[in-house]
Amino acid sequence: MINKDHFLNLASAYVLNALDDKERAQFEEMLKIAPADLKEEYAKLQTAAQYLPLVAKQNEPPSELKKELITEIKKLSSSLKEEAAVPRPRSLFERVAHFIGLHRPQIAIVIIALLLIIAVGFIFFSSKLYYMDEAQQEHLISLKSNLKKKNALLSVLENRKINIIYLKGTALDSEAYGKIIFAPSTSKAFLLVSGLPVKPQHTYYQLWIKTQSSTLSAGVFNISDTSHTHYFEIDDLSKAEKTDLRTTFFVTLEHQADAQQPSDSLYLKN
Amino acid sequence: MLIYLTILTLKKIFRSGANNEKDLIKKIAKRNLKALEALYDRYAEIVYSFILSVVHEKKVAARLTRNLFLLIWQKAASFNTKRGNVYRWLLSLTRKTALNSSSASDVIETPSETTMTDPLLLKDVKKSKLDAAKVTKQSKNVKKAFKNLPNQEQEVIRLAYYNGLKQDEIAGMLNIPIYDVKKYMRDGMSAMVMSLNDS
Repeated sequence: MINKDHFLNLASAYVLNALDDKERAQFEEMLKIAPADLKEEYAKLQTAAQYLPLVAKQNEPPSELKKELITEIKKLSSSLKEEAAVPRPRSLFERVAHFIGLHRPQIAIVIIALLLIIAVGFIFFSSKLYYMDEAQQEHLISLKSNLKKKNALLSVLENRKINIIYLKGTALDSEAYGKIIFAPSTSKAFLLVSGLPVKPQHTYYQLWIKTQSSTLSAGVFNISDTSHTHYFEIDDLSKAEKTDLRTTFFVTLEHQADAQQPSDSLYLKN
Repeated sequence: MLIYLTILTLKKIFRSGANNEKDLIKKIAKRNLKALEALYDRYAEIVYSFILSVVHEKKVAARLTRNLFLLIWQKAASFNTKRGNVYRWLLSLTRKTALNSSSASDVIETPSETTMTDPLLLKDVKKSKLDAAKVTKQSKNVKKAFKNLPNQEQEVIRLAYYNGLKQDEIAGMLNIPIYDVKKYMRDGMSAMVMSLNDS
């Protein structure tokens, strides 16, 4: 409940701006919750206060004052215009925007779009590079392995005396042929084969050495394609005692990786 | 056509006064010099007289009046034409200009209609519809009402309104209890309200 007397005391001083800060705040809070009749009283007091400038003796301002004011404003406006007329140095961004004829937001959209395209392109190429790199690495390993084998073959061929045993295709594949090149002084040997069909899955080509006393395995090899000659280092040739021209070599297709006895699938023989 | 013209004329008549002053401020904000001249013609006397009654020097009053209209030229855009009242805004600027004139500079803090504490902007408080024309019409009545107040009441109101003194400062200056200051202020303002209502 607001005390009317207290309210009007404060309101009269408030409209004259004569309250200290504390009372001023207090009155403003009071006014917010005041009933309509007190608000009406306050509005009347406010209006009365607004008439107070007329209490002062009314004097005409000097006649030249208006002229001075207009001159001052014109001066102010022209100096502002001059300021506006001085071209301010444009940033590179603004120059580009002006050159292209686009506004800032449009340029920003174009830049964002370009950055997105570049980012997507970068991701695409880097992934491709990664896969290319993997393929290249595989190729490199294969080249290194081939080089190693060729070097080994060369070291065999460089020997003063080498033996070459020719292998012929059988009824299973008459087009196939092979060679065994070995240097008796080093016991190193190579098998070169060509025309052998690509083996079915879970089967293995196996080289056998048949001497006067026994038949021994000289290693298993794989044919991945028929387009060129394959050669393999025979590391088990030393098992054959007295390897000479009377020794028999033959290649079979086996169903296990390291068969102990040759099967009937004979592909090459000398 | 005739009806249209009649409506247009009536519209013009009703748009005069307070709304018209808002239009002037809008035009001033758009750098319309003619609008500023029109506003000057309406308010220069009230502004100059008020400032002169505070500073008591014609040259200073003229300079401050010119500065005030320059400020209006520069700050018109900050005036809230939807909620504010031009007369109140100018009055507030004038009082500040006059009361600050004793300080070293003539710099005026612009009370914008939105930042100014303004209980009149409360929804259910009647908004002021005064403008220069209405106020000037009441000039004689206001002077008479004020003259009819007892001297103590006149003095207390003058010191508050024209000198910007708070109640305790007035009490100190007149060497009277603050209770009396409050009473004179309340009685004086109530009498003013009554006189203006009767007129």
